[in-house]
Amino acid sequence: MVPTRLLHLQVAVLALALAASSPLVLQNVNFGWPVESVVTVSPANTVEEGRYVLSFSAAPLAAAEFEDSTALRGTSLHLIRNVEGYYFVTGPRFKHVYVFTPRAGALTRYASLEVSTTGLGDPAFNLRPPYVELIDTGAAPRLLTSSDIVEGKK
Amino acid sequence: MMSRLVLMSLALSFVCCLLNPLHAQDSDFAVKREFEDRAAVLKARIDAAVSTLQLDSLKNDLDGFEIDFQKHSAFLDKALYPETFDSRVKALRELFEHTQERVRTIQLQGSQIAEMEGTLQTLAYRLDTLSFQRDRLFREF
Repeated sequence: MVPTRLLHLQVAVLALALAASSPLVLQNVNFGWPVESVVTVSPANTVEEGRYVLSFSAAPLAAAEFEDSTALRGTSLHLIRNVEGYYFVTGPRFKHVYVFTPRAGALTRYASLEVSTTGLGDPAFNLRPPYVELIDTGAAPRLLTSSDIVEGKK
Repeated sequence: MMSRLVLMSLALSFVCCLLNPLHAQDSDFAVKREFEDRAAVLKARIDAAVSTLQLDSLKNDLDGFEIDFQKHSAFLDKALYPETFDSRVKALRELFEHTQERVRTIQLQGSQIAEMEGTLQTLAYRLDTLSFQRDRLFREF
């Protein structure tokens, strides 16, 4: 009698432990920003986005794009988040759109999409689910995913 | 001469279309900024309006503003959150109505003041006449 009750207790404890450790996933999340944010890089080389309260250092981005960590000071950056939750960043003179994924206290580069050989003029992002549309003066609009340009490739 | 004027106005319209962000590029951000800029200009003009003539012109501009951005209303509802396209237009229309009331009151008070000034002038004239008559009677007496 006692061993059977003990077994039941063990099973119950195991079931509770399994339930506690299984991930809780909320599906069908839409992370998309309806409109891009245009932010100016501060003299301290940081970016402060007001509406979604996002801030980060622009120095590594400047170093990656222009090989000069101070190149973005005083310039504007265009940011948007797609429905999957990836952040897209670019700006005037950029040859790439950088795609970042959020990690604990950081944005990690997920992809760099080459969108221009000479540098963008006056780019802008539009959210066009499931894509992000990149427009620029004198160029046809391009549809971007987190890893590729699916329409309007150069 | 007339055809040159027509050609020039057509060219000007074309340049305006190119310069207007709503036509120049299909940027959602530009649409939002254009909406906010035009709303701010309209609000400032409504605040500063002092005559019914100005208000008549503003009424047309307000209608035009709403029509211009109606096609973007679904997008603007999201972009202007927690406000909406309708709430922003409604706020402008309410401000317009308050200003209209204010201008009407000012104009009414203005006409009342003018009327009272007229009465005051008449009374002053009568006082002068009576003073003159009094002086004359004193002299005769």
